Amino acid sequence: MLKRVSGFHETLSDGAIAHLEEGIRIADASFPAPFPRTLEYNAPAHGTWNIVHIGMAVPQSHSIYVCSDNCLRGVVMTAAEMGCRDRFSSVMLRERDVQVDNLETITIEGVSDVIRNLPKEPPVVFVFLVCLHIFTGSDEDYIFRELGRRFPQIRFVKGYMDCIRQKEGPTPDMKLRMAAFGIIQPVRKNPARVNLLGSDVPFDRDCELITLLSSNRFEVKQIYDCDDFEQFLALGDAAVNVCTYPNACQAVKDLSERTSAGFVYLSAAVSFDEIRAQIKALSDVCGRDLASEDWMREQERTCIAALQELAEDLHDWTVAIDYTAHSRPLGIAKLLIQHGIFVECVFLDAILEEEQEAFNWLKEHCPDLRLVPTIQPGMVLYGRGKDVVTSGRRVIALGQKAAWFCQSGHFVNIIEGGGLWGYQGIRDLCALLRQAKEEELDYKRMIPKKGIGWPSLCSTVVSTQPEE
Amino acid sequence: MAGESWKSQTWWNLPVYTGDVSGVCSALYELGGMVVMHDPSGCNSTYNTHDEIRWVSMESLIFLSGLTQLDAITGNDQRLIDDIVSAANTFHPAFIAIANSPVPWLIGTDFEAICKKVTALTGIASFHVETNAMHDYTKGAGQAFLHLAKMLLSEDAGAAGDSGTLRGLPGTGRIIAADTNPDGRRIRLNILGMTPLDYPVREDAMAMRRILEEEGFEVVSNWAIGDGLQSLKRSAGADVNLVVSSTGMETARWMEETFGIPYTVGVPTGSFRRILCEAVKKSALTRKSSVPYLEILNSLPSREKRKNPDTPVRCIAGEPVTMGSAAADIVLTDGKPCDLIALTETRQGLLPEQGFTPEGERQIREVLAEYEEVTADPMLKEACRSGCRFHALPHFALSGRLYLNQIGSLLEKGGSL
Repeated sequence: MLKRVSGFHETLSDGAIAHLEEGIRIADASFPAPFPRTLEYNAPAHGTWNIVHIGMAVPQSHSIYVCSDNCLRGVVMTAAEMGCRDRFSSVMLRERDVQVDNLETITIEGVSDVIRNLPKEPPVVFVFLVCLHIFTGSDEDYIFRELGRRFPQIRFVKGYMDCIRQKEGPTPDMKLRMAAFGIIQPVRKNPARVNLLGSDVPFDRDCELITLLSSNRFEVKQIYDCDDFEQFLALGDAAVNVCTYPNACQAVKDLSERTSAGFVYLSAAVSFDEIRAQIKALSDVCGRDLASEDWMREQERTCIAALQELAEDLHDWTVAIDYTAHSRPLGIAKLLIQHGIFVECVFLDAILEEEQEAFNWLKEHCPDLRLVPTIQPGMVLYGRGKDVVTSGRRVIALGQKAAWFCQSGHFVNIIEGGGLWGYQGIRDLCALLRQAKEEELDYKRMIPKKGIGWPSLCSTVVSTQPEE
Repeated sequence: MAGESWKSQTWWNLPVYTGDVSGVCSALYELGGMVVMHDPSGCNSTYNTHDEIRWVSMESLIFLSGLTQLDAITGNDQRLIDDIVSAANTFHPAFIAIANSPVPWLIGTDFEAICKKVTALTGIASFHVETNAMHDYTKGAGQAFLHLAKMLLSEDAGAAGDSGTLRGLPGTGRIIAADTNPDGRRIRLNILGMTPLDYPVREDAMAMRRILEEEGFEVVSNWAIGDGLQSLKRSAGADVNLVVSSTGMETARWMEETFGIPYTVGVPTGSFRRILCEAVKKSALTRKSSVPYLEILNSLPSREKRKNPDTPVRCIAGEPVTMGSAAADIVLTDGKPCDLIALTETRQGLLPEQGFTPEGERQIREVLAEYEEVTADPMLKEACRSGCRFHALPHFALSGRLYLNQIGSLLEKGGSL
């Protein structure tokens, strides 16, 4: 066991630790917020994307953050670890900027100075404003109007790192996705073009969703297919926009309205009924019957076989699922439990609306399933010897936070569904869980790295602290 | 806005140092307290991802308040108080520290009142560290150490006589010999200003203690790697403080004013070790504080006089105490001049006459470009002139995890710099 901090150890008795239980039975949980808001802990699992990654996904973009040192530090180092320092700049705010101005001058002059010092003018610049801009009443329209006047050849995009508003409205990443897709304008429509947008994890070209479309003569594009900014803007020619990630839903919906394209949100479905409904919705918006009944039945049959095989393989294991791995953790829990796989806990801090059906089902059929928060203060004790899983079974963790809290190297290292979708997604999920059972990963070295899918120049050192 | 001050605030490619809020957390990490960052989001993730190497291996009660816009606008401090009290009642921390972020600073949140209320409700000593996220870690960690010292040592301060020294403890009038005082005991010292932001190699804390003991000192406490509050509480009984980074300066000055304990500034590295240790003994003996690396660096000819084709101009850039000590070691080892360029904020009294304090990327580039040989964090290499002889010395508070596997012991660097 790793060393515990001396003073803390002295003041918190083992008895107190033993009786400090985080998490609740789903039978006792309320929807959609099962846990009270309080102080927040942050586990050392950082594979998910933040606004730096999302902004950088727009090709040839340059990001400029206008904020104070401590707030800058996280985004500066995110860019540095991605190997993207050349696409990232910052303007550091000081007290005097607030005392003599409302941040308009420093923002305009600072951003201008940065741009003039870049080796080449980027075609698109994301300027990120922060909480202080909100509270000092900065005239954002004036800032962007002036920047546009100074640099007419650059497209400026307003981003926010306004964390203070994220619990009472769209999060910074939702707003950034809206702003990024907001620069795509209608162009001549191509009826055979479909965009697959919103997911930070690219879908493989041979995945079920793309295959369903391409086998029906649709050309599918993702943001990752765009080599430059012009190609990004050309995404406006699609006849249909498909969104698969909840945080991008509004952004893709707005884009579709602006470009008069069809829109469909296909959540990462994890039940056969939902998948059928989603294929029908996709068929409707595309105007073609994309899959036959026989094909769907056959797919369901192979999925059931894969799930049965998984259940046999994991008969003495349990699965722990976290919300960073998949936007439908309760849906996955339901799917696995329905097919005989033991799921003991699900890590989440809030429940999405699209999970309500799974939540209700689990509440009724698996009342003892534990919902465990990831940010409640008591979680500081887990991941370092205190067990979340109490059944005594070995744990396969689906997601980085589950791996951390369950202290399990048998884990599936994915975020945001990992590109899993549809019937193939279920089969691939089974394969990943089986692989995780066979292979133990060095999760303590893996999960502190940021942004799965991006290069990482980070050299993590797990511990320079001697073990007891 | 006056002039073009924004020119020192733009960073088009270079990173910024660890911020003040992270500095607070780093300073107090191992002491059994609870640190709450009054911030909406992000500070904790930034801190534990980029500014803290202990997060995976060692638990600490460091939390974020999750301030919301509504709470800020309505001045609802009650939620913060309630949440802190609730967590404190669960964990029973040794103390509670609250660090501040930009919005609470802007709206003038009354942290002194909040701390009083928290203390009254929990019975646990609470203090506010005046950060606002607009400064670097040296400010935050420095303030955190200072407030902790005032909290821990206040009883001793109350016992101090008019002379500013402690009754019953080593103080004025006690002549201290080279290695021992008249009572035959070793000179006692505190190590001030040690955090992984400047000393990410854990062994440095042990090596520091070993070196000082080899030199005949008794180490009372280390602020704050490896020592708990019990050790720190004995600090007022020291004869002298050794300040090993600028984060320890405020506490050293306060202890000098309050207890009459002098301080010596520097890191026992390479050839500089012996000079530093002699200076520590001298400080203890004469009760006068000193910064011995400055004496070495100030003895050098001016940079202008050194500018000739036969003498490459060399500098070392970073945090002034660690880099000043390294510069002194370079001068002593190579016999060649080396300028000190301070890139962090806490530097009063820590810079030689030839020291430079560039602000912002523009000035950093202008200053570094003047040198033919530079020792600095690898992220600063691109700011140096073409053909510059560059010696990489990764600094965790700047390059974070990027070069962690290349960071060696600062104490063992010696002439290898």
